[in-house]
Amino acid sequence: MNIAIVGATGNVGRKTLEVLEKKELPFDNLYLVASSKSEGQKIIFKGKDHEVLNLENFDFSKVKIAFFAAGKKISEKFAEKAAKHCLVIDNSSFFRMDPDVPLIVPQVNSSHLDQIKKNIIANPNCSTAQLVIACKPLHDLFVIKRIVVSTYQSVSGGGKAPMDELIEQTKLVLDGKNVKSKNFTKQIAFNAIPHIDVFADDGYTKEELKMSKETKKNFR
Amino acid sequence: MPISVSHSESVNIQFEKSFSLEKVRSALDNFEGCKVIDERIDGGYSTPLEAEGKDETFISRIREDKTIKNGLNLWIVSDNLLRGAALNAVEIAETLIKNNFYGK
Repeated sequence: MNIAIVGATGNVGRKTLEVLEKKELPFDNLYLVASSKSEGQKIIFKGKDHEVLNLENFDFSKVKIAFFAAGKKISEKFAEKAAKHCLVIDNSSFFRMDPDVPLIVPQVNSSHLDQIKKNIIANPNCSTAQLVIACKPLHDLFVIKRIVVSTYQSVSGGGKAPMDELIEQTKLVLDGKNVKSKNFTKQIAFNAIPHIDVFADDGYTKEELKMSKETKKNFR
Repeated sequence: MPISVSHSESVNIQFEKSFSLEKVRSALDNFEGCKVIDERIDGGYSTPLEAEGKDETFISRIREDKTIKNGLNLWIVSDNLLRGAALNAVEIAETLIKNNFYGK
């Protein structure tokens, strides 16, 4: 069995490699796939060099499982094509609310995995995943009626660029210099921003709606 | 938040049934992927920095919400790149392999 990581050079892709280094997942070959920008780059996995391949012409029939960790647009464009040849485990939000795509936290609802219709399985939003894993054992015992949650999210959810910017902004503030935000709507260093993702008409943001809808789907 | 890694959540839950804090604590601590860190002393709770790089989701500040019926308050912290992404994805793959891909 072979596996592929799409978006292998990004934040989540590199983290997936780290997890695979530690786990004993039985696979033969690992293919690292990314945009043409990263093609040819070398990444070391378990002491061996792996060359990054171009997503545009990657043959998904070579693998049994493909992890997609390259964001919504890439999943929208490539996941269904890939799913004709292999099982796709998608980190993006694109398929999460698709009724034919199970939304899985294994400890919570692995029973939904026998309903794979499109060869695609979705990973919940990061805030949803940690909420449902803690709520599941309590829901089983006491039946949850209502949850009110406030999240305090780190910048890494936005990728590597916001992580670097947090450090840069912090240095600028400490040096008494002016800060101009690039990846944030306001200064992030020494501050708190009450907003993630785009606003909907009712004043909520998509991040908030995702959490509410995904939690219900996960517990269904 | 000006934090590199890990998301924190302040959570208020209302249950249909009554509960005891001991049962909440043991149910959480015995659930795979969860760990209770809740000592009710200075520093007896988990923070984003400590959750970074860890597979577990940490639950702290477990206390009753006495303003509503069957109410509970929690503080939940987890590495967003692991439980919220990479680890969860790999665990899905492990589950598929263990179950022979459910015949797929």
